Amino acid sequence: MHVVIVGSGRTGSELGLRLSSLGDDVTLVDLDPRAARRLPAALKERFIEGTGTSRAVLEKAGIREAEALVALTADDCVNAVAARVGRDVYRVPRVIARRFDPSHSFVYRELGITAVSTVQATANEVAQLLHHERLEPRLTFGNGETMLVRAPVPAYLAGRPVGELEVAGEIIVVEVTRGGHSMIPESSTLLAEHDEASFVVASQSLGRLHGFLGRWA
Amino acid sequence: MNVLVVGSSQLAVQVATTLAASGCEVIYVRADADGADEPHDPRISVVVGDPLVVLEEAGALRTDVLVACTTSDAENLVVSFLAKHRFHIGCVVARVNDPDDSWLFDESWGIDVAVSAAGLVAETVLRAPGASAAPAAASAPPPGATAGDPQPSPPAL
Repeated sequence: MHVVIVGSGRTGSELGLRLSSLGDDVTLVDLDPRAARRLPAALKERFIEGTGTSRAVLEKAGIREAEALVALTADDCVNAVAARVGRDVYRVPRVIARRFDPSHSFVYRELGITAVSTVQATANEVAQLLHHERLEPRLTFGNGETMLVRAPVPAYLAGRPVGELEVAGEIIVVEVTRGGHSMIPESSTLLAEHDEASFVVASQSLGRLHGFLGRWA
Repeated sequence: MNVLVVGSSQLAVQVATTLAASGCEVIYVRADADGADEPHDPRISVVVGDPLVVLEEAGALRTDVLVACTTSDAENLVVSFLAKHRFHIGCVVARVNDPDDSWLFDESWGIDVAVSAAGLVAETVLRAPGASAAPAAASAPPPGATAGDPQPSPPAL
């Protein structure tokens, strides 16, 4: 797959390397020629100096044949413009932008562009490590807004229905393991001692789940 | 007429001041950055903040005309898009900084009029009485052309 990466900073370079190792054909675009320095020799040849909003630069980068465009600069406006041009002008089938400033999420929404936020993902991860060490997420979704966590059911909850642990829009019990057997519970299923439960929880509700499980240290 | 000028350059300041002098109600939005110019004119209110975020607070819903006049073409495009599609501003004017970007400045970004300072000067020179062999194209730009956009192959002067 031919992928055009606009923005060859740390993230762009790392992505370029990773995609190349998966067999993708990658071109990197950056305004700053120094951005090529950290690239390995093989990728240096695939580097084009220029802005991701220039027609000449995008076409030189092979946007007409590209199956994906990824806009990773530190400027949300450049990312939004490059992504939209890729999608609407060059009909690139897959377009992803980096959202640098979390307050700009509405811009990407209005433009209908898929955006990933490293700032939010990092903040969520660090906050979890600091506050919820023992409720380690098994899986996170999106930018870490929701996650799957697994925890033993404390003895004092034995005999209580699963539904009591659930909060609409915040916490759902998706699975209970009892004696080595896993089941999908109903909200009326009664919990038992030594159960382990899996929860899908919104990151801002982790504290609440901690409270339910009596883990406030 | 209510005009919102978004910018942080001397050009934006001059646009805002000239419009205020002509009797427009002007609100000036500038980024909270070092070296961002702003008008010192009692007739002009200044709003400081990320233009993408403060447009509504700056009165975008009551604005007749928005001028996107920052020094970043990408920012001018996104501000114009929001002005037209989020705030339904009747007339959106955008500044083209880099002639390489002028192809983007069209109605798909909500832009009614695109202005390129470099192009305007070049066009004026080509139309000047003393300019020999002013090209016909310069006096009749093709439809959809950027105002002040340099013609594809201007003749040597």
